[in-house]
Formats: sequence, C-alpha cells, structure tokens
Amino acid sequence: MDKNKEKSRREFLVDLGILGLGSFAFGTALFSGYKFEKSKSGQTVKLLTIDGKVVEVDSLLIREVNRDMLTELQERGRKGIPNKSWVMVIDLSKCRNARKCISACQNAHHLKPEQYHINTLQMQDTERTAPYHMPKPCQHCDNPPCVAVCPVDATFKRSDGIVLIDNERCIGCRFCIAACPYSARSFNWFDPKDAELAENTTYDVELNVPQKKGTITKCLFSADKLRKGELPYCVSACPNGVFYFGDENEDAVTNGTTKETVRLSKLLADNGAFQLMVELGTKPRVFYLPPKNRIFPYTENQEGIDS
Amino acid sequence: MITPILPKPIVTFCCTLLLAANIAVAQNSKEPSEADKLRYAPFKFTEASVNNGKQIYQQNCQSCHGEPGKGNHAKLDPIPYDPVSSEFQSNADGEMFWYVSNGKGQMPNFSSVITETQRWEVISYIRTFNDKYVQIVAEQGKDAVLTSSIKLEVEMNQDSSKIIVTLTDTLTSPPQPVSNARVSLWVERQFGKLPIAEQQTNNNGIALFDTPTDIPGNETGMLTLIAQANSQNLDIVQKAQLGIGTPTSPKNLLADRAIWAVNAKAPIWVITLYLTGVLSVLLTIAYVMLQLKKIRDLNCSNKSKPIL
Repeated sequence: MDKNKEKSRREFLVDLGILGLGSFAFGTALFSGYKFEKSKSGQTVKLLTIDGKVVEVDSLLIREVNRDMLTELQERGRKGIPNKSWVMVIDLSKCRNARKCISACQNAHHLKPEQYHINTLQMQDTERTAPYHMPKPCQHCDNPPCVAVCPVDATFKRSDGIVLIDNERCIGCRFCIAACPYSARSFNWFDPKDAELAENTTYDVELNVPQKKGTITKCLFSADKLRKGELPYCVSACPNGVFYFGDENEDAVTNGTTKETVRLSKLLADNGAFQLMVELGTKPRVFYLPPKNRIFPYTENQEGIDS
Repeated sequence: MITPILPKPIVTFCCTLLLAANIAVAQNSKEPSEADKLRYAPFKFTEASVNNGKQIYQQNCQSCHGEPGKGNHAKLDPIPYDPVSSEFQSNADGEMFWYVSNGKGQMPNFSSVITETQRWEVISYIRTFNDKYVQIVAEQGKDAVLTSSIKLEVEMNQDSSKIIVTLTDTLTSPPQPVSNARVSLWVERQFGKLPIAEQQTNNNGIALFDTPTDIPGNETGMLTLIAQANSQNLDIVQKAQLGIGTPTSPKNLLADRAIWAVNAKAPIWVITLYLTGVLSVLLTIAYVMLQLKKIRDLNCSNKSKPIL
C-alpha cells in the first residue's frame, strides 16, 4: 500500500520535467537533422531502369542493390516459367546415332565425355526384334521419385514441369540416383571439366554451370534456353529431326531440325506414342514414337560418325 | 441376275494399270514428279541472290555437304554430294528445289527453316560452280507479284465462322484488291508457327479460311494468328489477335501434395502418421519413466518403514 507513496509529488514533477525536456531536445535534433538532409541536394544522375526507361534520380538517393547474383538465380530457377508445361517427343524412327545431341549438351553444361545428361542407347528388346537407337534424357516426371527422397530440398519440381537440382544445396548423398528408375542422374566424382575457366562465373541453377565436385548433375531440359524462348541444346543440335519440343498447354511441338510445328495430340495419336516405365506411376514428360519405317538401316557403333 | 463377263486380257490389263498407279503413288511420296522437276526459279539469279544463297548454304547445308569443291562433306551413307560434283549439278533446278523442300533420304526437309525465295537463292549459289549452266526463269504465271505497298488485313466475319484475309495495294487510289496471291494462315506457338491452311485470294483480294475450333488459346481464348502472303521476292506477314481459341487454364503441376521431402508438399496422411509415431514413442518413454519413478518412490517409502 505504501508502494504508491514511495515517490513524492515533487520527485514525480521533476521526473516529468526531465522527460519533457529530453523529448523536446530529441525531437528538435531529429527535425533539424531532417531539414539539413533535405537541404542537401546532390547532383541528379540519369539512370536506365530495368524496363528501359531513362529516369533522373538524386545521386544521394541511390542505394546499391544488396542481393547477390547467386540468390537471384536460385530464386528465379525455383519458380519456373509461368503457364508453361514443357514436353519432349523423341522419334525413334529417325535416330541414326549421330550423337550431336550429346555433344551439344556436354558443351553447354561443361560435362566430361563420359558424363551424359542425354545418351543414345543401343536397344534390342528381345533376341528376335530389331535393334534401334534411343536417345534418353531425364524424363522430368510429374511424380518424381528423386525429388521425394531428397533430404535437403536440393532437387525440386517447377511449375513448368522441369525437375532441377540446386547444387548449392546438394550434399551429395546420392539418394536420388538410387531412386531414379531411368538412371538419369550422375554424380560428379572428380573436379569438373574446365574448372578453372568457370571459376568466376556465378552458379546458375538453370544451366548447372559451373558443375560442382561432390554433387549430382542431370538433364535440365535446357531451362536457361527455354527462359530465352529458344529450343533446348539437344533439340536444335539434332541433324535428323528426332526431337520435338513444345508446350503441352498449347498442344503444339516444334521439330528442332526442320522447325515444323505440329499438333502434339495428333502426333502422339497417329504414331502410337509410348512412354518409359509408366507402370511406376512417375508420369514422365518425355514421349517416344516407335522405331518404325526407318529411313536408314541400323548399324552399330556409328559413334562420332561425322566428327 | 446378270453377271458381267469380262475378257481375261482386259482384267489383266486393268490390274496392271492399278498396280502401276500404286507404284507411281508410292514413288510420288519420295521423289519429285515431272511437274516438280520442270519448276524454275521465279527470278533471274543475280550477284545479290548468290551472296544470300552462300550465307544460307553456310548456315544450313555446309555441315553435311561441306564447303563446295573441297570434298569435306560429312561421312554419311549415302554420301551427301559436294555441290560441285556432277551428281549434284545434273539435277534440274526444280529437282534441287524439291529435295530442299521435302528432304531426301537422311536429309531433312527445310520447308520450315528457309523460305521459298531463300531456297532459290541457295540454288543460285550452287549453280555458280557449274560453268555450263544456263538459267531458265519461270514464266510469270497468274500468281500475283507482291510489293511492299501491299497491305494485309486479318479479321473475322460476324458469326466468327470464317477468317477473312484481305490483300490491298495501298499505292493506287482507290486501293486495289490483289487477286491470285497465295496466302497461308498460321497460329503462333512457343517455338514456331502451326500451319492451318493455304488459299489463293479471289478477285476481291480476299482469302476465306474456316475458323479452326479446337486450338488451345490463352486463358481468355485469345490466339495469335499469322497471315502470310508469299511471292517470288517478298513475303508479307501480318499478325492478329483473335478470340477463336479454346480457353485453357494452365494446370498447376505443384498443386497436389505428392510424397515430397518438404513439409509444404508432403501428403497430410504422411505428416499425421509420422507425428503420431514420434508422439507415441515419446509417450511410451514417458510412461516407462513414470513407472520407474513409482517403483523408486515405493522403494523409498518402504525403507522409511521400520522392518519388522
């Protein structure tokens, strides 16, 4: 009860006075500082904004952008290109193992000759059926087992259907290699190719360059090219018109060699298209057209046929 | 009932005819027809056309056919002939044009890669390696000659069942319709143009197309149409946004909760099952600890009691 009367009226008034004076002094200081800053007018400079407009800005108002390129690229890479749903169609009847897709891909992603994001396999289903060549990239599943097992959220699926890896997050546990039924992923056991050359480049999630030792690498559907509105490296490098690529929402795919655009649904229906290991429920985004009516005979070991 | 009796030789003759026709059809799909072979360039080959042709050749043909005269073609089977070789030069202009347009053997077709004019320019370049070659220019047919003053308009009729493409020459007054021009209609897609149809313009300079009904547009059903009038030396292109597409709502591939490692994407039953498991283990441990404590307490209270 006596607690309230610990402070006398006199003491309370003194305190109040000090508080009032103090806040007045602080306010004045703040105001004069503000006035001083306002009266300081620096030179104006002309700047170009991102959307291409020239604006005049007081040089004192310019602040440096603090975000680094890497974060920017990582964030952009996670998002995907809006309203797109990429699909690839591979026409097995046209593949003659020219391996141009492989070399274009390896050049773009700084891969060693023994590392494949896409590979042309020599297939023979049974002893009595005819052999054929089969280009096999990552299937970019809609229900990707690799993404499900990643313990650090390094590999992820984007809204446009592409499955990517963020090598800055990857810890190299290789769970995803074990999970992938298509053997699409490989591990960087050694220092990557051209490690010194790529030293100063910022890591781009959509290109996977520079490659990192101790992390996973795999086909990216050339996400960097798609962002520019161009066809993937392998698709445009093929000399035989094997690859079609396009947006499922538009129901159209474009041949990388002849640049012909066709209806996706019609192409798949007319040619008896199939997908790999659908029974696993992975929902792949790559379609195959069967190796029928071939325009060239099958020959083994056409590797480096015209290099 | 009357059964027609045909003499045997006639039946055999008809069969042979049919067979021959079949073979002819089969061959038509692979080889140029006589009419195709007799096709000639619609313009006289000039230095400019040769220079353009050289550039196009270097970009599109050289990787397989090699540099002309050097024999450094790709090692394929059959051999992609060197343009200087007699095998190559013995083709008529029309044949070459057909092969570039339709492909030959392993060679892909280039009809969507380079325009007709560009194809003739490549041929004009290739012919510079043949001293004996004398060019025959195609007679000016009924096809209209296009100039840069010609305007191309794309619109729909009232019930939007037809797409009307109008060609008018704006240089004359009043503007004159351009008839007999070849107009093709395309839909713009991500990586190329999807062909719809091709028509000749009528006397009013109008080409009528049936509106395609099943092509996916954007969310509101808008489609970008490309109308293109082709002629020997000039292609006039006009784009138009029309609401004739099927409205599409892009499916969000990330909407479903699949079995994914991140909490935000994991199915609810997985999260519930996991949390229940962890909780029951913790509760079991807690229960065991409690029982142990009870035993200890019992033991202590027993100690305090005097032993009888």
